[in-house]
Amino acid sequence: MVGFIFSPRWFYGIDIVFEIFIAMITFLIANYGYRYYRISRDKRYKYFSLAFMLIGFSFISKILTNFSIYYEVLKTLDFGFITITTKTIQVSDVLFSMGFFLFRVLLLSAFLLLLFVYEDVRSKKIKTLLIYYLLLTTFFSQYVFFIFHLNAALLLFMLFINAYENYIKKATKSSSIVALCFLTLTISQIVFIFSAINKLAYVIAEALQLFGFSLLLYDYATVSRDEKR
Amino acid sequence: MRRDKVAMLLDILEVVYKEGKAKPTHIMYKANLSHKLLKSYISELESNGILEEENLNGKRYIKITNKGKIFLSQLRKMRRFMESFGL
Repeated sequence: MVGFIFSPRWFYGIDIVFEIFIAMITFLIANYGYRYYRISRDKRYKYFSLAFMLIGFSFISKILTNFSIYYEVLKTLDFGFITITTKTIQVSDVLFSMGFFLFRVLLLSAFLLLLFVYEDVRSKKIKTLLIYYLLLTTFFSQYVFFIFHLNAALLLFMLFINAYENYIKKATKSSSIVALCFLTLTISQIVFIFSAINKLAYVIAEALQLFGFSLLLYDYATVSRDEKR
Repeated sequence: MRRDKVAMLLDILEVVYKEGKAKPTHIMYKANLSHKLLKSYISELESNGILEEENLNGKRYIKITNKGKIFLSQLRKMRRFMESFGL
């Protein structure tokens, strides 16, 4: 059970609210990307949309898993029958593992897909190899949890480099926001690594993650507002 | 950098919007498009009610509709958002 919970007790539920908000932002961007794809018929936008949809679904998977874990823990507090609750959690362990595995696979797949779009990777061999390594490392991240966060940080840092290069080229406020978003998300993944040592790190990482995705919402709102003027 | 379809549609609509009404040849030069491509895009935009034709003194002009103005605004927004990602 210890391996599943990195959140301090007072933060239970707050992280779920954060993640619901993140999922909503990513679905909004996925919808926007898909609308763009329908007009342009350019596959890059289809994959862009799919990547954000996968991020949304990954957070839904985490929300559902966390919700069930917190429910079990809070039930323990209510009844105080530790033996009964422990048994329930052991039964649910497989479900929790699967939920987190799904979250990790979907999130890393989304980041990898975004990287394919940015880097215009066409070779099927390279794609297959990268997907294989992604699945392999995600599987082992069940035992060594920080591997997942390291992978995510690495992919996000690569996305940040692309976004930063775009900012250098365009020098617009919008492109700087996107670059800042990927940088914030990279840092959040690094901070997540320390959540096994200090539960406060989990809170900071969650807040950073929320801030990172909120930047995308801010970018969306800025573009919409400027166009109305 | 290669222009995608949205960028090309935007170029067409911006020309027509700025000029009020424009001849197809004028749009072709301003939007830097081939005759074949322009013809297919104008026909697509007309069938969706975004552009309309007007004949003045035997000459053919292209005009933007009210629906077209809304579409242009949405397209600008979408393009800017996607550009912020470097796409």
